[in-house]
Amino acid sequence: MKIIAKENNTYLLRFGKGEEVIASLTNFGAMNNISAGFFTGIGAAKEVILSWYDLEKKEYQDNEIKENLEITGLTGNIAKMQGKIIVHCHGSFSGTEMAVRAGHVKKLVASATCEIVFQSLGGRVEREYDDETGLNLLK
Amino acid sequence: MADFCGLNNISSGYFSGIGAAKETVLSFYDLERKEYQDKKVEKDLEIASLLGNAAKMQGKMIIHCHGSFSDADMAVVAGHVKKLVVSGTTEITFQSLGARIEREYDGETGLNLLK
Repeated sequence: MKIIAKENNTYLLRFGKGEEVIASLTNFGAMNNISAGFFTGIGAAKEVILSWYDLEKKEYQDNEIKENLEITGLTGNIAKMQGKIIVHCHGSFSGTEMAVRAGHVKKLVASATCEIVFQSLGGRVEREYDDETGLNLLK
Repeated sequence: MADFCGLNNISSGYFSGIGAAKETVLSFYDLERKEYQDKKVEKDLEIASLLGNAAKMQGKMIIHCHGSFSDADMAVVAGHVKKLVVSGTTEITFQSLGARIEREYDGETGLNLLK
C-alpha cells in the first residue's frame, strides 16, 4: 500500500497487485494511529470473498470468487473493538459482461490497482457485540 | 468533469455521485490482454452510484470513474465508466485536494497508475 497523498484528515491510498486490501487497511489504521474513519474506493480485484448475513441463523454465508473483476464501488468504515481495529466494507464488482455481484467484503485481493480515499475521524468509535442481531454494531 | 477541473485550477480530487443516464460506455479491463472491453448501453438508467478521482498525467487531467447503473427492473450493470451522457440529472459531490497527484504508465499492468 502506498500513501499517494495526505491532506488534513484525508488520505489517498493505492494498493498494488496481489495485496489483500482489508488486511492492509487494518494495518494502515494501526500504523498511523487511526482509530476511526470512513472510505470509498474503486479499482480491480482478482479474488474476493463476498458475504451475506443470514439474520435468522446469525451467520455469514461466504461466496469466494477467484476471477478478475472491476471494483465498481467500495464503501466502508473503521472502528475499534476491544482495542482491535475492525474494517467494515461492502462492495460491488463487475465482470466481462458488466454483470454485478455485491456484498459484505471479507477478503479482496487487488489485481492491477485499488484506489481508496480514506478520511480519519478524531473521535473514538467503538463496536460492541449485539445479541439480538449477532453482529458487532457501532455503539 | 475534466473541463471543470481545468477551469477551476483543480489538479486533483475525488467525487461521488448519483443521477440518471441515457447513454453509457462501461468497460472491463482484461489484465492478460492489457486492453479494455467496452460495452455501450443506450438506454435510460438510474445512476445508482458513481465513484472516482481526478489526477494529472503529463499535464492532462485524467478522470478515473467507476459506476453502477440500474434499469426498470432494478437490475444492475457496472464497470469502469468511459462515457456517461446525462438524461434527467447528475449530481456530483467533488472534493478537491491541494496536492499535485500524478499518474504514470505501468508496464506490468498496462495501466496509468497513481504514483
